Amino acid sequence: MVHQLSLVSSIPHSQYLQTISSFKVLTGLLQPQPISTYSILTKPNHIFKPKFEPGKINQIEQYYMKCNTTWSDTDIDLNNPIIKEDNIIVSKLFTNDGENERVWTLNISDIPIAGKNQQVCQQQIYESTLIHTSDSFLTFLLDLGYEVKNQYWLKGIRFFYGDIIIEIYKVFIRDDQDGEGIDGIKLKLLDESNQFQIKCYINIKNSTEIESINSGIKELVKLQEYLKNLFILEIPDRMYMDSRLKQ
Amino acid sequence: MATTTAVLLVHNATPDTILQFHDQLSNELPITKGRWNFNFKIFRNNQYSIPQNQPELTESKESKFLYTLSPSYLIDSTICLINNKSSGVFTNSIEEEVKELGHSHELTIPNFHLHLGATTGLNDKFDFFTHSKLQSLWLQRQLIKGDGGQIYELENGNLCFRTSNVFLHGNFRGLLIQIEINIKEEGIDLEEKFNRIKNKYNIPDGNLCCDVINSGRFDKYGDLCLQYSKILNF
Repeated sequence: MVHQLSLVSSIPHSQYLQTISSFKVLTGLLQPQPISTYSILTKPNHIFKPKFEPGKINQIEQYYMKCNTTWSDTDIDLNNPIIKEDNIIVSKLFTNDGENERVWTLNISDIPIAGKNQQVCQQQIYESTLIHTSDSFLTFLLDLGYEVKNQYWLKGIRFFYGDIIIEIYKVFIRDDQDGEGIDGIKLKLLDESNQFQIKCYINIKNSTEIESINSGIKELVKLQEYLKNLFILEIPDRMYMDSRLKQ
Repeated sequence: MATTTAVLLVHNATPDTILQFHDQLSNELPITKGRWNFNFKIFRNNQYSIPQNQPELTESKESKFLYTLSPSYLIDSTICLINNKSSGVFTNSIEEEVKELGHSHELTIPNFHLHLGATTGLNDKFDFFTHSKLQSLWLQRQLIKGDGGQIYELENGNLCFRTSNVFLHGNFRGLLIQIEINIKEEGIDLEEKFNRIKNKYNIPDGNLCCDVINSGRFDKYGDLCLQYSKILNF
C-alpha cells in the first residue's frame, strides 16, 4: 500500500519550455525521464448486493480498477503542440505483439483523506504487478471479475527533486471520429487546448510512517511556495478521485 | 527443455516417515538448496456479487475459487489461479533492485515498466491486494501454511524435491512433497514419469497430482498452483 501525497496544476503549452527550464535548474536534472503509459479503466462485472443487517456496518466496497502498462509511442514531440493533422496511431495492443509478455500493474486507490485543513492531497493506493498469465490478460481480468470500460494514454516527462516526483504530461484518448480504415488506433488529446497537466507527488511506503508523511507534506508545501510565480499547485477535488462504484 | 512439477501430500505422515524420507534422500547425496516455506490461500466468490445476467437474484448461485500460492523461493512473488483455468504470476521485485542486491530472481518487473511510469514500484502482494480491495468479489476462506521445508537437488539439477510440513489453523495436516523435473521429450506420460520417480526414491504414499491447466502448453507456475489446490483440498 502506498500513501501518496500530491498537488496538481496545469499550464498552457506556451509555458512548457519555460517550465521545464525552471525544473532543470531546480532539480539539476538536465535529462528528465520520459513517461509513457497506457491505462485501461475497469469495473467489476458483477452486481454487488450486500445484505444489510441492523447494527452491522457494511464496509465492503466495489472499486473501479486501473490497469497500467507501458506504451511505446510513436514520435510525439512534446515541444510542439499537438494538432489534428499529427495523426497519432498506436498499434492494437491485444493483437499478438511478439514474444515479450506485457506487464500490467493493477491499481486501486481509496478516496483521498477528507478534512478542511489538508495542505496536500493524501491518498492510499494499492498496486500489484502481473508479469505473466497463462491465458491472455483480458481473460485473466474477466475471470478475476473485471471488465474494460475505458482507456487512455499518457505521455510526458518527469523530474526528481528530493523525494518529490514532478510529472508534466498530456493525456490522449481514442479518436473514434477519424479512426476509420486505419490499422491501429487513432489518438487525440483529451484536452484539445494542448494544456499540460502537472502532478507533484511523494510516495510513502506505508500510511503508518507518520514522520515521513509530515516531512513530505512540508516538502510539497515548500515546492508550492517556490513555484507560485510559474503556476499554482493545488489540491485536486477529492470527489473526482473517488473510485468506489455507486450502488 | 521444459520444467514440470507434481505435488504429493502424505496425509498420515508421522515424525518417523518424515525422518526416514529425509534420511533416504540424504543417502542419494543431493545438493541441499536451503530451506523454504509457503502460504496457500483459498478465496471463494462473494455470494452477494451477482452475475450481471441474473440481476433478479439476491445471492449468487455460482461457486468459484481463487487460489494464491506464495512459495518463499519465488521471492516476493505470488501465483494466482482462478476457477482452475486462468492463472497469473505477480511480483514486487524490480529488476534493477534485485541486481543491486546481487540476487538472481527468476521473476522480476522489468526496469522500463517502472521508469516509464506504469508502477510506483511499491507493490503489494496479490493476496493482500485481493483481501484489501477485491472483497466484493472474493472472500478469503482458508490459509494453509507450509513450514520447515527443505530443498534437495538431484540428477545433475534435473530433479528437485521440496518437502514441507503442512499446517491448517496451526494443526499438522501432512507432509507435502513437491517434485520438479526437467523434461526434454514432448508428449510423455507425466503420471507414469512421476510414479517412476516416486518408486525410485521411495516416496511415501499419498495423493500425487500432476494435473496441468492446459496439456497443450505447460505453464510451470499456474500448473503448480493447480496442483496445490487439488491436494490441499481439506
